[in-house]
Amino acid sequence: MDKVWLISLVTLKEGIRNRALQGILIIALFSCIAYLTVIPMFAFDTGKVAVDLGFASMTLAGLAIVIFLGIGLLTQDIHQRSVCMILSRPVSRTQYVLGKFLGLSGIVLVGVLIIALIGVLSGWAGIKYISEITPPRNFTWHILGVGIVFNFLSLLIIMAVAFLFTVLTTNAYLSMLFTFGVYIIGQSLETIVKVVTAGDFVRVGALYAQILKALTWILPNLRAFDLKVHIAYGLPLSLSYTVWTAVYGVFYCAIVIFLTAIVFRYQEIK
Amino acid sequence: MISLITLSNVEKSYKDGFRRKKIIHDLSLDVLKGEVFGFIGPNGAGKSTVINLIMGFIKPESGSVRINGSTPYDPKARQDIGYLPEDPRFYDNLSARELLLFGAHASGVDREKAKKSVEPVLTRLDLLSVVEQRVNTYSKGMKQRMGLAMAMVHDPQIYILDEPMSGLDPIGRNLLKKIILDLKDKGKTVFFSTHILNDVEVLCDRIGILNKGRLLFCGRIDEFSSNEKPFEEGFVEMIKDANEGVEEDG
Repeated sequence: MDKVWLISLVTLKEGIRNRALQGILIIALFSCIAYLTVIPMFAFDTGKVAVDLGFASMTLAGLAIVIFLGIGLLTQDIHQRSVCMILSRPVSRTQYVLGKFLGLSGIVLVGVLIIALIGVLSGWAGIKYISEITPPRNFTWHILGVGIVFNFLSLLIIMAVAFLFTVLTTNAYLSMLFTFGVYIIGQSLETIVKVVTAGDFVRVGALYAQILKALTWILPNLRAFDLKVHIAYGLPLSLSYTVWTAVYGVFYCAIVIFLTAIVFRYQEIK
Repeated sequence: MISLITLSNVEKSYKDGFRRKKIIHDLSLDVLKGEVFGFIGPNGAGKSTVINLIMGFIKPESGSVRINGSTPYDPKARQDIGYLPEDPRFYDNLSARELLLFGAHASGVDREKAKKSVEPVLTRLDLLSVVEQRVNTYSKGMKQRMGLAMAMVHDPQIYILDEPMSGLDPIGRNLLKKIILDLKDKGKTVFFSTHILNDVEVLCDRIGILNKGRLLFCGRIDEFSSNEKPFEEGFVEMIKDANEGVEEDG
């Protein structure tokens, strides 16, 4: 565990000092400030608009951290052989995968926390100083907190998937493409399955419906982590939904990282 | 003498389109404790592949590799190894001190000892003045010396150096030669690959000559150059003969 911790710390340091992270955070800062000027243009539901834009900034910046910085660091390690600096020492490949994932998760966490803080501060400033902006209905801090944690969890799932693809493919662009594909599918699969099984608008064959259902077991359901509607309208959030969704996220990450460790164990580093 | 690195009948091939191309042919080799072993051969001979096999980065199709009595896939076998890759790459946003501390800790050196070991190693490699500077500001030669510092920081018994002289200026090469001779005096085992023959004559107890994945010679340097021909001429002739032999066989 000591070595896992060491690798995660060195990864975190390397990532935080990376100019890509600083660039992404600066863009996120500007987008959070910019949405304060956009919200007053809406005639109603400004609270919902503020929540949507705030979370969109957080998700976009988080995705950029995962896809550009995360995959960039992993590619540098695995395909450009920086990993030899670690694996030439008494460190197992499984320890490397765990340490690297923890370190990258740390980078994502730092990014999400900074953007969340900027978002909350700019939201607070908007409500206080811009009369057109109203707070979301029945707003509660704890649901906002759960929403931010869930956003982080969904980014961790994408990070784990990106790690697996970087180990499986020989090229960073392929890994980015596949990871982004999984993100898009993960966001829309639940809705597609609901529409297909309801059969009100679309009718498909039984086999196709079964394939779609099977895909929901393989690909991540990222929609489950989206609490924007709950935050904006103050909808109640049950404890069992919160706990089970969190457990699902953690287990999904664990399974993908376990698979990554197995693949990486047998991979040749040329 | 105890053999610290042993390769027995090792074969390795890579995918070449739809076919597999054999890179290493039935290679057997022993590197003995306390010796400096030079692994020489022309470009593309397979030297780096052999080093990757020894380090456990790749696996042979057949045959076995043992290092310090264990397989290289056992992390414990790498406890006492200092490795310098051909093109050393680091986490560029970290400083030399941070990287060396990480290297020492990852090799099992305790915190206090690791802290104490950083500065002497950097002083030896003439990098102390840039100890707090990020590695991305280093020149190629400085990165090469930094790579050697990473290999030395935990004071291992076995050194595996892949083309250690590449990218170094004459002063850097001279420094590296002195370091290898120092390591030899301390009883360390050094296995290094190179195609610079002058270095081999000065530094090595024994050499192995590899060409197109086949070991052409393995033995003491005086056994190789016992005839009247200078070392370099003998080497070139051996490679030419081997290449002609391969063409005739083909």
